[in-house]
Amino acid sequence: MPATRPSPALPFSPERFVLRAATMADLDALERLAHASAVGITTLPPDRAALAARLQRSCESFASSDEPSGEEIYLFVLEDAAAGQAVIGTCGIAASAGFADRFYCFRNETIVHASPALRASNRIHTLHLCHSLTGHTLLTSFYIEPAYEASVAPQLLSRARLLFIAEFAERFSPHIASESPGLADDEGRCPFWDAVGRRFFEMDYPAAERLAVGRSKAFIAELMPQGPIYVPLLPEEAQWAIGQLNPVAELPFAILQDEGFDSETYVDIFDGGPIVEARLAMLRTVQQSRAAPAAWQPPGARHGQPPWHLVALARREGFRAVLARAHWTQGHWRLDSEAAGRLGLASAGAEAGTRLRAAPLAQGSGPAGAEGGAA
Amino acid sequence: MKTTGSWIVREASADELTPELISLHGEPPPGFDDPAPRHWLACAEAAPERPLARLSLERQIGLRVPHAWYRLGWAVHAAPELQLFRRQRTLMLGHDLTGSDALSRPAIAPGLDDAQAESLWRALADAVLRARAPDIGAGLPALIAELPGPRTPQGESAFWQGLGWHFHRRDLATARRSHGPHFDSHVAALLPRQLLYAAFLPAAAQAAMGGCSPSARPLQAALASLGFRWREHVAVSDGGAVMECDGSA
Repeated sequence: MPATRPSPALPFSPERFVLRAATMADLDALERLAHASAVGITTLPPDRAALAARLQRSCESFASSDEPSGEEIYLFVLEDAAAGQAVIGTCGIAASAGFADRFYCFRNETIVHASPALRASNRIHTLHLCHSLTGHTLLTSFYIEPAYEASVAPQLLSRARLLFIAEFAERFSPHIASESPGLADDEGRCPFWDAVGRRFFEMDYPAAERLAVGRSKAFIAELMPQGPIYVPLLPEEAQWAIGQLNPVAELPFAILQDEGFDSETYVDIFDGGPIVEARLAMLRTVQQSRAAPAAWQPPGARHGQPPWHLVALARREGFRAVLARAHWTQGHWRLDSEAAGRLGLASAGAEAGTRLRAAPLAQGSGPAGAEGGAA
Repeated sequence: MKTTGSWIVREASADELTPELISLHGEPPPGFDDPAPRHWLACAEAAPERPLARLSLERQIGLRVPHAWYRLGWAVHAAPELQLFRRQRTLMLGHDLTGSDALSRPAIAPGLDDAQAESLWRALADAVLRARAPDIGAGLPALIAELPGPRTPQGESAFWQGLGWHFHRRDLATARRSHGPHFDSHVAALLPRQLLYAAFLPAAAQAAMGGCSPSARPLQAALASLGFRWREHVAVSDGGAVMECDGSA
């Protein structure tokens, strides 16, 4: 297992962080993060060969000039410039859930049973195996080192993906979803799996997870009930676990909830963890983002303190995103030239007019570039 | 009046009460208050005034009040890629036996041994079959008998506790006393009507499916000797076996 990194230097100024497309050179870092991540993130397997294969696919996806097939995955890494460009987090996008197969999940439904003769009427919670999210774009593989969780870095890590999707919308579904791990303890005991999956597999949760790595979940669904599962028949502990979030995923889940994702409808067929979904156009970062040419200005030339923004370079290959103070004016994004360097641009002068997509760091502050809302 | 072996079996009038007999379903006999069923009583030849067992015949059940049963079946799930193969017991709520005639409301005097009880039940059931015989030319419906399901030593139904109770939180015996012989018909509207996997039920409930209470074993044996078979239908409330006999038997 790769060695862990020393603690980062404090404080966490927003300029320290750069999100960029992952490259094959990030394999060691990704392996380290995968080993540190929690049970349940099957898109970040602690397996060097599997990670290398995912990185290879990701590099091809970023670089490909072909028409998108839906098979693409995109992996990103987050660097801390104040820690020698160390990779401190990762996240990903799968262009089409269940590509070339079906994406299975359980849908929460309510059935009403009534007997007039017994003067009884019951609302029954049921879980229905469904394919509704097949073809949705999936946000995957989120992990950030715990030391950075309290900083603004998770916001950049999670939400810059949405700027990427918004900018290259033709490569993605207009519907976005994301799985979060459900309840399981350190020994791999998972109350939902024990009550549902285990009855059909006769294997424990970690063993099932190992089976799932690198496979579509279709094989699970082939062994699961095709009809509804009547939740009142499950043990109370399993009922309670439906849609419950593993505490290790509270941070990325909260970011998605703030974006406007709905978490009431779908749960994972393995561990009952919540699956959030939303229309891309309804997500706050996307709604509030604007794409426009850059207008660089010398450091110190700005008036006042423009609000912090998530600022992304609108290029698929070599995609980068940073946090920067930015101001929307006269159809341009006006920001300090030092941000150009952080975005990987050779020189601010030579890159004048480079297309950027940016959204306010603070949620709910109106369209990008509006006054106020500084983080 | 008709005599079978050492028993006398006769058809009873609707107003003959038999409170001294104990219903196999555990509740007091509902009484002969329904004009539709026909009823038979069996007595010892030596004491024709004292009924020892009672059996009723209800015609074409489920045509006035819908009546449901669970049909047990199997579902096979396989994932060849993983060499996993699973065979699962299933229950499906349905009305397969609608229109059948039913032997119902079995009640028997306390203190009889199993051999006596089986002989009494055989005499009564045989009398019912003979009473139906003149109708054979008209094409008789199947004849069924719902047996009371297994009970725990405390008198509770593990099947009800494991399934029905989750959808109607009443004690089964109390609910049956309150709603009479049509309780199963009414409660079916509250039960899962999509395919149900037995694996979701507790082991005791699964074990109770298709069984019967010890008090009903003589009746089951008597019916089996007359050509009745269990074809994997069970009562929706307590999982008791439904014995079936073709109309031509």
